[in-house]
Amino acid sequence: MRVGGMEKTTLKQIPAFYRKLLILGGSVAAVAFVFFLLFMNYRFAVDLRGTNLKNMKAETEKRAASIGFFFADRRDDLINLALSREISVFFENKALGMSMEYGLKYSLAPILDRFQDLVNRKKLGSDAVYSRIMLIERSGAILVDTLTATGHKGTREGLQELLVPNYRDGTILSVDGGKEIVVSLSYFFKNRYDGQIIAWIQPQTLYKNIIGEGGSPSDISILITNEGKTFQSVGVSFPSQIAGLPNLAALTPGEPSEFRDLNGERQSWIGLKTPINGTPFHLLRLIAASNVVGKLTPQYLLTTMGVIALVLLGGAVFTIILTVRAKEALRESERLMSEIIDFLPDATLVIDKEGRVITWNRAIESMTGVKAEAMLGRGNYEYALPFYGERRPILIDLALHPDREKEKTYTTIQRMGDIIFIEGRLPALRPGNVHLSATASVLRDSGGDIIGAIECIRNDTDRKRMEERLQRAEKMEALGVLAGGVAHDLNNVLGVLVGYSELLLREVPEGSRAGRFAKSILQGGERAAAIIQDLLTMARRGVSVSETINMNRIVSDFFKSPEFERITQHHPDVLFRSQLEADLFNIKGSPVHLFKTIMNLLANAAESISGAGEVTITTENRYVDAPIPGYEDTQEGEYAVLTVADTGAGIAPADLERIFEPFYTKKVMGRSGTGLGLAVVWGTVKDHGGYIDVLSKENKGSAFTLYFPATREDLSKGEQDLSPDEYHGRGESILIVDDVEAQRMLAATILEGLNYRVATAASGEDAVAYLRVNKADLVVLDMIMAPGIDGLETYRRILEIRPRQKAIIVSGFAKTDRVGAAQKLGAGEYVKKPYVIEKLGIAVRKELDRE
Amino acid sequence: MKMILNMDYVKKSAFILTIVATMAFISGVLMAADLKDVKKKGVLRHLGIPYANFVTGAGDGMDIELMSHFAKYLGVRYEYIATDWGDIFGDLTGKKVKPKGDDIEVVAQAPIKGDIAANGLTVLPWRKKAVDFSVPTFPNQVWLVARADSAVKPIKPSGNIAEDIEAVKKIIAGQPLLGKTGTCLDPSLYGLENITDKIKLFPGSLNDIAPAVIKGEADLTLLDLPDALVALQKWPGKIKVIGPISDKQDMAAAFSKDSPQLREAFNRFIRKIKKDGTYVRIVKRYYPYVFDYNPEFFRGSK
Repeated sequence: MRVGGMEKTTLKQIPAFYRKLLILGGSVAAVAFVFFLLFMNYRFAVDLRGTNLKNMKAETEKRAASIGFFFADRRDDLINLALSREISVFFENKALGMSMEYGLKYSLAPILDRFQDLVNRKKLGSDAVYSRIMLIERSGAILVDTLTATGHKGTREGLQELLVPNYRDGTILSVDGGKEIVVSLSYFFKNRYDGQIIAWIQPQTLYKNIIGEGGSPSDISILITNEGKTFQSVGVSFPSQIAGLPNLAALTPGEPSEFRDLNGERQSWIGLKTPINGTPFHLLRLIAASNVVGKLTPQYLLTTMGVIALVLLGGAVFTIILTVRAKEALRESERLMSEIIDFLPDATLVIDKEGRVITWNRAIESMTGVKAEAMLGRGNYEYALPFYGERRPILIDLALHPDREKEKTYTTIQRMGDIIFIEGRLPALRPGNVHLSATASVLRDSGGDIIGAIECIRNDTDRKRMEERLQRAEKMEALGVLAGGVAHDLNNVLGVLVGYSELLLREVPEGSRAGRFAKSILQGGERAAAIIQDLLTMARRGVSVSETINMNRIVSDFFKSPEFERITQHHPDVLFRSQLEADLFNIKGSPVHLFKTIMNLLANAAESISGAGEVTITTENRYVDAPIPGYEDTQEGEYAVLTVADTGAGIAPADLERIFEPFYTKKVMGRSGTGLGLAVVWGTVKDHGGYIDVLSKENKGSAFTLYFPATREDLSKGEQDLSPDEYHGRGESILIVDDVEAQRMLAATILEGLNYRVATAASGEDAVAYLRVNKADLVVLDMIMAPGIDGLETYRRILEIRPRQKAIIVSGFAKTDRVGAAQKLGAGEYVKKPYVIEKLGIAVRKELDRE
Repeated sequence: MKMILNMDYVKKSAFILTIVATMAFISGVLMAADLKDVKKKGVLRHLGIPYANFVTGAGDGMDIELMSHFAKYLGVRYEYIATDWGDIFGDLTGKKVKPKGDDIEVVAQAPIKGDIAANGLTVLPWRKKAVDFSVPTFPNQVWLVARADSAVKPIKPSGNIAEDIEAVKKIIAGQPLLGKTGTCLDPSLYGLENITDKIKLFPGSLNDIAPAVIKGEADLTLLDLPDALVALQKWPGKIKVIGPISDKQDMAAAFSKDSPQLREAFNRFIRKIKKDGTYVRIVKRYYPYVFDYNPEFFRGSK
């Protein structure tokens, strides 16, 4: 793959061994990196723990220093008081000997004012620092007490022990079991210890503003002092959380210590004891261990994270394995899908959004002759080349890039949403003139976005051909029905013309003028009848295929016939040859129609040659073990094949499709027959259950090959000619049943002329009614009668009243199943109209004579 | 008939009228104003002498404030009338007197200049003869005060004032002593003239006695309690209180015996301001330490 003009190697391009090596190396590196991160995290946690402890220690020391400064300020307060004029005046007055009663007491008032001012003025924030300041005489007498001066009663217990001359610089003490914090300063007047100034500090002010500033239930700071061997709290009681503290004396000042499972609870604390300079106190700070070092020790963290990392890595490996398996499954699925597409019977082409071929299956390889390797990845309409010989958009491109205007230019294109369908012939596609039907559609992903397009192409040339043939057959059938209908009506008319002209010819002297006229009329009628027969034949209603015949004999008979004589006379430069297979299969058919078929083919072949040429008629046995595609498909079976080939002008491809249509002729009308020659050939072949194949090339000639299904039966014996006496009547009674009066009259006249007694009925019902009360030796029964019951039903009803009634069936149409049914009931011959006296007479006589 | 004036009648009438007018004048001059007069005149005239913190001389003082409040209480204007120890009672009563033991001697008539006298006036027996006093407005006691370097040592209180007084008198015996007549510091009030013949009567203001002792004009002096407290405050370590020379005394406002209603009004006023705290506030302002020294006097005051 090119990227930026350089070849970029993808993982797939790397050999599998090196790829695995790469993956393994990468995995090892990833694992090593993870454990490196864990170790670094552990180290970080340890360092962080150490840093936090240091910070805790520094912060605590800072707080302790603040407390120390606070107490230093308190000492200074008392020192300043001691230096005040008010106190010195008192002691001066006292030294003068003044008594309290007389004047000395008055000196205490300013001292009280001074003390009171200090109490009121000294604050931390809004909190008073001092709760009480007292001046005690050396004797222990309270000289000044800010508390009692305000009317409060203050304790006087324990004051004696505060009279300590050594507290020259002010001493911070806790008294009353640690409940109170006092500053005690020894007062010296003229270097003589004369008393003590004592100030009580409000513990809550100290705790609120300095000691416990920023504290919380998990961060406790408390002043402690050791009273004897145990430490006790100063100013406040030990909080309940730390009530179960171990001996705090064991704490090394300035070194954090951890207390685990303190007081039966599971919380760990870190304690730090820091001395307060200038006081007997320590600041004890207890912080919940989780606040300093986190809830997890570094070891625990390492272990936990290690386990998590292992789980994650394991999960990643598992995910990778699943992903690999999923990819493999996907690849397998894709491969399967690819194989499915590859083996689709329809030629299938898939392109991506950019028009590059991504699938080119076997069927399209076979259709186009282009291998997949030559097409995959190609774009620029490469795929159009095999079909059109040029690069151009094809159906799949219309699906991918709909163009309604372009679609309108196609007549056979249909669209249903994403799916587009087209059919047509592609001359450029081998073997040529191929009919294809193609369906194309866009391909969308799960999000509905177009990712490509697919086209499936089917070569339905054969189907199309069969369709056309079917259409042609249906057309021929329709034409046949039309022709048959016309012929039937004409036949009735001609029957009268021919019949009466024949009768007339018998009545008038031979050679007379009237006789010539009658003969002309008869011949004209017979020609018309021939045309009608051709029409009927084309309509497939006039062929009897019950006789076992051999085509060679018919060919031989034709070559001896006047019809062939006429053809050769018309085409003297045409050489007629025959190549007849000696043991040609017999077939079941009608010699007359086959004779006519051969005649029509040879006549056409001769007429297609202008000047000199050859017409060859060939017969052969042929076994078809697979359908032979051709003009029409010849199915499997044994055939006696007749071929008439010429070296004539050939038939244009456009005409080839229509040559079997009635009256589709380029020949001069009147000269070469009825214009129904090939139509008759077609009808005859179809009536014989055969197939026609036509090969023709313009200016080269044509070959008509007729396939007649072979039979293993022996040849039928030929009909013997009978004299009229042999089919005269003996006065038997005959009932003529025909819905056409002229036909009834004609038949009656013929039969009466043959010495029969004739009665007529105009309908089947009339015939039944007649026979109820009358007898008839024979019924001449027309098959097609309308309205009313037809010949079969009439005969059925007749048999109910006359079970052994003899009858023959007559009709202007070909023998039908109903005729066959009537014959099965017991009817005799089937006589085809128009009536021929001999045929009618023979049939009547034969039936009357039948036992 | 002609009217002839009876000259005798005229002269008699004029004489009588003159006598009456003079008597009226005299009575107006010689008779002090009582309450209705004060209200009628619309002014309360306060006779004062600069002394300690009762009348500081700077326009304020405990008695000046008390009198100002009293004038407001009466609904009249306040007016300060300066006087001195020699004239104060004459200015108040119209009779200039001098003490004669516990009695007085009227030495002259004087015009009445004020309605009330208040400047740390100690209630003394002889003064009672001249004026009527209100209810006590301040505690007092006369002490013997010495210069700090004096050889005289303060007594050790015995717990009995009489004994303490005797002890002090023994100390005074034969010693030079400073006092001031006409005041509570008059040595004769305490029979000290019989103990020492070296009594020196201070001519200056009471406020200058302590400084005079400090200067060395005398070793010993009499000082009343308020002045002593002030002196102790002003000159700490310079003077020392030796002991009492009198029993506890009261100070009060003085009224002419012709002003009973005015006195009664003042007494009502004092009772009122003792109840409502005004009195204590005023006292605290000028003598903040007297409450500790003599708490029983102020018991009942808010």
